[in-house]
Amino acid sequence: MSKRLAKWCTALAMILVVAACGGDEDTVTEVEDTAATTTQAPATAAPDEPTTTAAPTPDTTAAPPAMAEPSGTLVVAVNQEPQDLAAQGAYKEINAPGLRNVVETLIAVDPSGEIIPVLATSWEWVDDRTIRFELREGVSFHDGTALDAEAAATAVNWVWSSENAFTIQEFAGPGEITATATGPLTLEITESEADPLLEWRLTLNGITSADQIENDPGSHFDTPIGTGPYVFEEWARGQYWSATVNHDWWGWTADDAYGTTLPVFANLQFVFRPEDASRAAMAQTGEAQVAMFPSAEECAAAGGDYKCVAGPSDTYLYGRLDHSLFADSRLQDSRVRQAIFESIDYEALVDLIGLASVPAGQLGPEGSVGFSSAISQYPYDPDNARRLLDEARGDGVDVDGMSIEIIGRDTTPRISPIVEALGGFFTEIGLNNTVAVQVPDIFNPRVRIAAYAEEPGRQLLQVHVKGNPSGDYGLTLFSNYACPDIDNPTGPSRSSVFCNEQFDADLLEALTLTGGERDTALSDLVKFVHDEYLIIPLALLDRGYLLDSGLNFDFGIDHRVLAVYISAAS
Amino acid sequence: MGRATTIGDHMTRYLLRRTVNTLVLLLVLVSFVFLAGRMIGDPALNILGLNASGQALENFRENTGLNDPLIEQYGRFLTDVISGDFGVSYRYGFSVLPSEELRGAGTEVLPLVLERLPATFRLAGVAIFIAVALALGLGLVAAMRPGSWVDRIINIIALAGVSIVQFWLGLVLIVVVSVHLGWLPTSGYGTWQHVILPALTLAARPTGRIAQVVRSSMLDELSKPYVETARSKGASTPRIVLIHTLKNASVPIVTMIGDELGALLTGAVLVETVFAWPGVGLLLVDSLVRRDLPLIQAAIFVVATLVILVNFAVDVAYSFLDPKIRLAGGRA
Repeated sequence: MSKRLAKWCTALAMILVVAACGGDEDTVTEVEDTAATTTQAPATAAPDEPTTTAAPTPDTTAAPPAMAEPSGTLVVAVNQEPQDLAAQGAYKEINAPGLRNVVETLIAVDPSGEIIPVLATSWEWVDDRTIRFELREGVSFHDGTALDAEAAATAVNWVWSSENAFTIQEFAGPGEITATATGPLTLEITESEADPLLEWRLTLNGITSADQIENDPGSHFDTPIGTGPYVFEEWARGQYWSATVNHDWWGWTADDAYGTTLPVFANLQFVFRPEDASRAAMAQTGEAQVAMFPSAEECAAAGGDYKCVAGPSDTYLYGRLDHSLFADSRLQDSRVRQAIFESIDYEALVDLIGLASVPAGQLGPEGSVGFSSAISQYPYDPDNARRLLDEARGDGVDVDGMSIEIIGRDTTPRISPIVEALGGFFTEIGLNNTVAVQVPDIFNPRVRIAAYAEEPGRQLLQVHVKGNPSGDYGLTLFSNYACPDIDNPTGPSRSSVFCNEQFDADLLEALTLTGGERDTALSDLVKFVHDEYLIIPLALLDRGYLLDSGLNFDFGIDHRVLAVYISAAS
Repeated sequence: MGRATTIGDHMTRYLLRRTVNTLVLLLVLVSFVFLAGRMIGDPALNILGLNASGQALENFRENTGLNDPLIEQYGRFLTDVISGDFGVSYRYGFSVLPSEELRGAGTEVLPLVLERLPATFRLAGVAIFIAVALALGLGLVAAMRPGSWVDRIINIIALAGVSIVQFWLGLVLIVVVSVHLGWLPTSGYGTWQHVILPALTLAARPTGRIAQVVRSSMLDELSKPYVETARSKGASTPRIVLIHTLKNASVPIVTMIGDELGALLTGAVLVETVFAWPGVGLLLVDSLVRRDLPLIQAAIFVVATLVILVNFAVDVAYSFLDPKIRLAGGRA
């Protein structure tokens, strides 16, 4: 008996250890600290004059949308079961895929990256910390209660409440967000500190029934009551959640309803399939019309009744090469750094990763606020890299005595071949190196100022994945390049490689700006850090879907699975 | 009368010793789960993530008792376990940081685990049924023709069943049976068709092991003199095998079936993940991915308890089937 039990105990232990090494998207990707951008922003940051954004004027010459009766079921195979279906989970699609079909927001980011009206028809900055919204008339929650300013304020305050401590707090910004009804359909939302990104933050804010929040808050977590085109129906734990079309949805008659089509499916079903191959198999057999996040191989195998569609995400793979803080002095030689950057065959690296693209010399995709079109990816030029190293040697830099430690975190997909490839590129130009993949408990502290201060003179290249869901370079610049605070090891710039007082001053000023001014100021800084050879943008990571060949799916960088963006392929 | 009393005493001692062993094993296992849960990383950092502020981490540790000395946490954990209280899920049900107000109304983890048990039992039940049926057939056929090509093929099948990686087999079955042949659904839960592929996957290993034991036990029995006597009296081979020898060979077979039933419960973890079967295994993997320590502890405790109880039941059954063990108080 004891031998058998020992064997089973061992099996359980192995399961525990193996499974603990896995991770969902949240644990794989480090998100830029969104509170960072405005922590020191002066109060004069926001626009002096209120700026109003309104829904585009309806094109009255356009033909009305077809009103075919929705039919059939759209089955979406998703990679994980939601923790809950609370309104706050709508901030990030990976939390609860598909929830935005039920729970809507005041404003939203559409697949093209534009902020569009949803439950609000217009909005304006009142001052540097407040936005006033005019709500859409005649909207009802799925429980029949009306959406008015009081209800919306209740929903907003519930989601951002520090007492509730929802995980959306990571996007709360520098202060506390609160909402007040100032008219029957007029709502003012205020951040206690000036915050140029408040508008974007509110695109994350799911609005659900105030009646439910006040009278039955427990059900809020598993029975979402929103205003969306689909009404929540059932959550079969461990299996799926489902919804049926909302015949009372405001979008049926509104001229400015979002989506490329009105709802065409009568039912939605989001089935949970943690295993990649299971999701792919569902798409292959037609059991699912959409299967999330296939591997590059599964995408390549698509054809016939199903296809693969992929697009950029908000995550990027980068090489954090020690620089001015505590790094080996040889790594501060610009020729050595340039040689390292030019030794890498970025196209080959992207091919190795699969669903990815070569960055444009910066840590984000085109379309982000602050994206610099003045730069492009570093060239792959091993001959020039060797020449640069020879030049450094000639000036007495002990290049041959260096050994760069290349490490990756084991939760990053395909990290072993990636670090091996980087080691190979360095070897090709004559740079000694070692490669290793480390578990998060070892890897993570070494990214942070508190730990790397304890390793003076190190020659470290950390290969890592980060995400920036805001589409604003302010977050990226602050997180990666602003002077880290040794006394605040969990501060926003804890993993920065760089410290330059003038850069910090310029960045802080840029972070107070909005609109075109912000875009220009940030893009200048993006170009500056590019030219300093600080962090290596290795790849922009795509996400894809296996899709029924008869369908089209329009999605943006936030990869929201919204049925109104899924239409019949013509 | 005296003999009956002796057997009863032996049995009582045997059951008592097994019960104590079982309780000690449970204690060891619970302790292991407690320690392992704290060795896979800082629970606060695992749950709140890299972006959590120092204050948030500190609040979490304070609110969840992680700041207390380990021995104090362990004592509290044991006391709670004895009363069936594994606590509230960190993540399942509420995607919140440690807000005292909402945590107080959080989801109890033990009911979460128990509501997944029927699905796991269903899968394990069908799998063991398939395994026993196949293994008996294969083992008997092999035993009746030892050394023949049929015996060799069955041996290879049994060895393959024992050696095969379940995860891989599951994926192959999905590709062949569901994707290419279109006979069964790829994954999921609900109809009788859904259980076939995961049950076949799970049954591979016990089929191989039980078939090997059936074959060797039957060969042992078939070589005994009473079989020769039966043959000389004109009994047919099927009659000899099914009527005379199978019963006598059943002790190791039953033991092996019980042994494999316990293994099925742990093996179900991977199979449930591949086929999205909503049992305890899938819940356990999900809780590990989410670093939901209370749920991890409850799920492992329930699975391990089941394994130990099945093991205990097998030992008791074994002692009833084999009088030598009964008389020796389980020492045989």
